[in-house]
Amino acid sequence: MPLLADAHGPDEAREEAPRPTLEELKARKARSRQPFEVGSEVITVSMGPQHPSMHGVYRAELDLDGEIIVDVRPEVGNLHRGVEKLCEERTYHQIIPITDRLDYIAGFAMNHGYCEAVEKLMDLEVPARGRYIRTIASELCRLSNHILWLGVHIMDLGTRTFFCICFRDREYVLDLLEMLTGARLTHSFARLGGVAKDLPDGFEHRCRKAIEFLPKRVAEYERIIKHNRIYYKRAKNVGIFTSEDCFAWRVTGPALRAAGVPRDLRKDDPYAAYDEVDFEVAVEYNADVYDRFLVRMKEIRESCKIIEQCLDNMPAGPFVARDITRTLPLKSDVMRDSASMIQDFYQVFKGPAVPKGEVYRATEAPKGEMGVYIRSEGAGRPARIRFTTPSFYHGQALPPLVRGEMVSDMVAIFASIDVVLGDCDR
Amino acid sequence: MSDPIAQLIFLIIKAILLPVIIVMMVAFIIFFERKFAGFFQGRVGPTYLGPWGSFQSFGDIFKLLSKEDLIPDKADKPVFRMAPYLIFIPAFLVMAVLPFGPVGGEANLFGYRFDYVIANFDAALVLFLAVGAISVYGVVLAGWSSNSNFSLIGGLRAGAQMVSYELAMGFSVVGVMLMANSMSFVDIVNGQAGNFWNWYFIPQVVGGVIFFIATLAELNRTPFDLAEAEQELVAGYLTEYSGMRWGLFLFAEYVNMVVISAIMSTLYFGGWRAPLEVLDFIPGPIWLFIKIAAFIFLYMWIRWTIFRYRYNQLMSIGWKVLLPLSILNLAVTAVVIAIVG
Amino acid sequence: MGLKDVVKKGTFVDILLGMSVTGTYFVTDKVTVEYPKEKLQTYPRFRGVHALLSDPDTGDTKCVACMLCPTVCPAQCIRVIGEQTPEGRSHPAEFEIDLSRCIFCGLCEEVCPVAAIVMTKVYELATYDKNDFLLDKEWLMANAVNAHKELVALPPGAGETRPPAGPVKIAGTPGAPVQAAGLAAGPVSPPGTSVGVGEGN
Repeated sequence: MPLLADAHGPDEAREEAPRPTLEELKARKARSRQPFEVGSEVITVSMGPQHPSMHGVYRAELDLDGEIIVDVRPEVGNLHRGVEKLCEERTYHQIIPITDRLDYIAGFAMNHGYCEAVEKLMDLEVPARGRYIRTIASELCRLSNHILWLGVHIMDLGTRTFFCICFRDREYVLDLLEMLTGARLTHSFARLGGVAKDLPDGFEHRCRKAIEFLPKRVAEYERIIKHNRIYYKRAKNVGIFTSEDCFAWRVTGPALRAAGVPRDLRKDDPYAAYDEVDFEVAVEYNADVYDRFLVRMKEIRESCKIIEQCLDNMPAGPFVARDITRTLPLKSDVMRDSASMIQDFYQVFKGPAVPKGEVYRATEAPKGEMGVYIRSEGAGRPARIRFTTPSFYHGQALPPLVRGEMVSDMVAIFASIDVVLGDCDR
Repeated sequence: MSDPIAQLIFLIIKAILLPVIIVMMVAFIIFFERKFAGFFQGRVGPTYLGPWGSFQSFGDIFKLLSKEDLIPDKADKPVFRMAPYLIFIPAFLVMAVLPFGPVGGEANLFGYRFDYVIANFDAALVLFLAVGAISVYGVVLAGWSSNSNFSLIGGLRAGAQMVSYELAMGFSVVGVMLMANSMSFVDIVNGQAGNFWNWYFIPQVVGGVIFFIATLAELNRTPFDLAEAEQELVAGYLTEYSGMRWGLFLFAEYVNMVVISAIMSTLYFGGWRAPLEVLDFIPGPIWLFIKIAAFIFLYMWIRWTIFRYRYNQLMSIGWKVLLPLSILNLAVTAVVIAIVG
Repeated sequence: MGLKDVVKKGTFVDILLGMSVTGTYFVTDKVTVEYPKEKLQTYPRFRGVHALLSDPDTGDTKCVACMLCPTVCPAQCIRVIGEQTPEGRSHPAEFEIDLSRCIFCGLCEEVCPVAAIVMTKVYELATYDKNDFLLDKEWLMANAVNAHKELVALPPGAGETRPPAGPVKIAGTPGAPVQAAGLAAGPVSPPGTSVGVGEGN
């Protein structure tokens, strides 16, 4: 209905408005900051590590002057589990379940990024069907992540209803992931050279149903939030992080795209099947919380498009590469073929034959750019793995984002930056 | 039995029955809040205790009573104990002057005249505004006496918010007073005699909406519930209260909600009057109950849909939007009444 | 701000829009599955607690103590001690899984060359005694009743055993809570066959 659709201002007006330049964004940021004089009494408040809104055990020590934040000292590391050290003691196959626990909301995306890096090091090619299945699973993880982000973001603003609604919709995605991989969050589905199992029967039908109505759900969310006057007040021109700041603090992903920079590794450095599907990069230009919301909603729609195209064009063939020195064999082969059984033993006890060298490969995880650096000494276990996860840098970028804002805004801004502590602390 | 003694007996019965009824209502409202919260979110609410989970509040009450009574060491103990009571005792006082049914000889019980009000007070509206301000004391003292940073900030915020919105509330209520030409609730309801188009919400629509928004702020409910915002400052002025003391705050909030719904329906929606005269045979208290239930449902619906304002936006709405609008409403009402007579 | 915007702000159109969405949720079906009265079935690939499959002829476990699963386990939770049977076959004398270390990744199931260790659909693992987390060979062999997957290939249509949206009531007295036995009582009997609730959204 036209009257209700643009309750606060038509979309066309927003889209046709001239894009703000960097100087204008900086001017808006300066205007929205509350003036404060350091020197009056400052209270130190520790927000976290246990806090209903702090996305995990992230601790932020705030210096407050009344409502205004004078300084923030973030403290991470409460969830540090030594993942990179654990990886040094395990073969490349055994590391895959460990990467699940990095960004535990989008487990497959982490598996995928890691496998891409190892395959680049080994120069192993993934067959077409494997690439398409990986793309579908990665996009399902992106859907799951963005829907959860929305629920948590609105819950931080005040209503728990959205949280329940978003989790209900996320159930459909988790359902699909359970059907495909065997677990809802800790997928461990990617393998070196492809994926662990083929698409199960009935998956395609279910998947198509889900991606048919998820965009309608997104439209419903937007109906409640996008033109809501309270959301406008709390999200417009709040938390402006210009592209300059993003580059300075290594903030990537939706926050960077909301600042006007169309950087998406799926387009710029394609992997899996991303160069064979047609999708748009979601870009907005105002660099505030509102635009990060818009970017993520658009990405949900684009993900549904990508999944649909992958299902339509799914090639036949093997879903995992068959390479006797570098991949785990298929179970059906192991049970009847002695060469595969030997391969099984070899891969488990010795690990894959990885050449000596080092590699860095970054992929577009739902939260931002996730990079994997591997240095190998030629053994079946890596000598050093380093995961550069997006949440670490986003958490680090909190001080310049919120200095001068009010406490309630800090909660909204921190939610929009999308930090998950498993990703941050590794 | 002579009439004064009958009236005295009736008075005692009403004075005992009314608080009991309100307390029972509050127990079920707490259950309905959780049940409706579930329904609005697409899930079932509590289902375990009793049919459809309706005994949930009693389970909660027993659980709260069994908890340890913790008072912080450096807290100001007498004030700490007294603060919750300051919030809901004024609400009961206001209920004493609210009419539930016909007053002044229209109804009788056993042949004696029965007034459906405990005290037909001439300046009931002023009593409502004055006594409602005492609730602010309860909130601020709760925050102050807890001897904690968070509680103090929360209490002061809540207090400032309630005081600001009381002004808008007061001015919009004066519009009703002008229309009814009296400050007594009984006269206000009698002035809305007739069908529902005689009710005051039609001429006073702006005042009604302002009053409704102001009551959201008075009750510290979303979108104005910054004082209790979990996500930001733990629980604001409630942080140090645990067990049944916290239960008392919850109880106070819901009693206030019932009373303010009753006042809203009395001032703008005809009180105990039926919407159509043909439906007069249904007794007055039932209609009032229906209207109170409708408003409470509306409060809950709003709470579980929209999210909260930031504090400075909240205050600017109260002072820069609602107050001028309510004064404008008052001016226009006065002019129209002066012209029309 | 034009007149149209003032009218829209004054009549709270955007807020009413939001309220209409929650209003519709109020009256439509609720999605809660009232656990433990109702439970959801899991998919064939679901990675629950392990089981050791046995050879129907000999009654002994299929496992030949090849040590692949303890080696591949990223959490090092499997302990196998092999021995030779009198018939000359290799089999595990002890096979212990420490559930408090297991991360349920499924690698053990994937590398087993004789398809002896599988992951079942059991996910109710709560118990009052920590020692119940050490699953020994007898427990794992008894748990084989809950294995629900073909290991090499899924039969056609196997992916659709779960009804789309509705909860699946477990066989038993309707309405009475089915006590989850947990680990202490041994392997629980599998949930009953699905009572399809039709194609939901």
